[in-house]
Amino acid sequence: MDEKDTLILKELRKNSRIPVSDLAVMLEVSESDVTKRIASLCQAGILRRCTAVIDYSALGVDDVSVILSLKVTPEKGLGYDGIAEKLARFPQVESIRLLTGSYDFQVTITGQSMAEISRFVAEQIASIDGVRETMTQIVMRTYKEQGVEMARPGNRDRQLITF
Amino acid sequence: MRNFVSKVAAEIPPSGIRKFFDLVLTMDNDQVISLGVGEPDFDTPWNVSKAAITSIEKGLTMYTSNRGLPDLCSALSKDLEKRYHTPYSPNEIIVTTGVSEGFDVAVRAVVDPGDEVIVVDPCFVSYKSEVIMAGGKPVSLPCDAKDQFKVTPDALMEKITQNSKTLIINFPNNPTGGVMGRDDLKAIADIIIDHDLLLISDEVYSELTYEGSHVSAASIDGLWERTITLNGFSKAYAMTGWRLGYLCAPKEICDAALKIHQYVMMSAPTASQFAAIEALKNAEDSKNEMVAEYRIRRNLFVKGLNDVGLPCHIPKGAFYAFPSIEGTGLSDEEFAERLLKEQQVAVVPGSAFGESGVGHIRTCYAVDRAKLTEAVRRIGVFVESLS
Repeated sequence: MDEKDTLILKELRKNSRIPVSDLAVMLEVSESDVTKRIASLCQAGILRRCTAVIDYSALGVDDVSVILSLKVTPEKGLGYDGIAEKLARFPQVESIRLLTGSYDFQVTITGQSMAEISRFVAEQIASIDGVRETMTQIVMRTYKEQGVEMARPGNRDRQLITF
Repeated sequence: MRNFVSKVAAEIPPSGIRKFFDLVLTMDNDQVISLGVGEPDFDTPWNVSKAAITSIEKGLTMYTSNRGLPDLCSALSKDLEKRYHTPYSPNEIIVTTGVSEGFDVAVRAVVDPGDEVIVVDPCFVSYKSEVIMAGGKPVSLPCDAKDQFKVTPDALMEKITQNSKTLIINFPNNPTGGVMGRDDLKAIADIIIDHDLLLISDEVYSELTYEGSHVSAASIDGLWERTITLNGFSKAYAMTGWRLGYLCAPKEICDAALKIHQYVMMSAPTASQFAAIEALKNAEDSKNEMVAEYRIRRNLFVKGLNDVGLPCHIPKGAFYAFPSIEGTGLSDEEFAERLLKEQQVAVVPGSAFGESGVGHIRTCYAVDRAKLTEAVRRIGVFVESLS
């Protein structure tokens, strides 16, 4: 890892579709050098996936997202890792974070309806050994996601010509 | 009824190129990609905006002292010393309503009718008109693409007469993006001193310097005592609409400028001054991020321009590229008009910035990368259609 790798990661985080040729000009290196760097970042498990930020509400999709807070009893020998791994296997689970404070895990889940999510939480999550308590909060609106301000228009009024 | 318009106002040339700007006004904003602006596309850092909002909430909405908030003048004094090694005490600084006002005040503080004022060319559109309004005689000092648009000692010597009193420079330069380094400034410093000239140095793009750090003219030996330094918050902190700049000069000149400032402006906008204090204290990271982004865009954009056949030197500062369009066979005004009509890309004809700008266009890369890429593509299509 050097400064150029850091910059590649920063740029990909902003725009994962940035052309390699652009990165090459920005970094003042050859395109093949950029391709090699990206490949080794992937290989090292640093660059995990290049993805997109989508405003589903703008798309008119009525998916429901919830934030699920869990209190758990750590397992002997495994601590929190065993429960986290069990949670992680479910495709409905988008993120899992271990936190300080009164709840141990914060889990985000997306489903097609509240009924579907309720069923999933009750049947699949609450029944995991070691899960003592759940609190489910419905996401009402997403204002900012991965640094993108959803509620704010990208274009602002600007003069066409100023000196 | 008599004609009430003063002779000075009647005779002052309108800024830029009337016909082209009339055309711009007829265009649909949504269709046009504009590379024609002279301002950052970023928002003012939020903590800076919030400082102004808080000052308004607290009711701090009166005039400030003419010179500006004492806290701001002290902060500027420290900042200038640290950043550029230019020692200005707080009473050698005036906070102005943008560099535009600072420039006006500076010119009126030092120019007498009949004085010859040597003005770097190409330059920001207001310089020569300001000199004329003060009764001075502007003398263009041409800067050439082959010298990366720097002022050369030879070109300067050629323009000096016994009536020369003041030299106006602006580096990093609008519209060329040219920069004068320490050696370049030293090379003209002796001439300035030998001919007992005053230097007005507009350094509003100082923080937008991409190779090495900015060298302030007043930091060159022998220049501080004969320099008025102008700078502001618009470009570095994305604060164009806040209208806030500052003028720095040795006390005697600064006191003269302060008299004019207090009559014409009273004081700079108060909320903006509170924002400026926050900008100096806590916006270094935001500024560095913006500058890093401009640098990336510059590299992409200038390569793109050269690739589509518009030769352009790598500008070392500001956020403008100033390619030559002479190879297309069009005048810069025709080029800009047709590019706007045929490919919906707005640029500014170089001749708007003076005789040395003829045959060039000013393109601003303070535009997001996707738009820049599309603009280069459209310019390429246009240039191709001419051959």
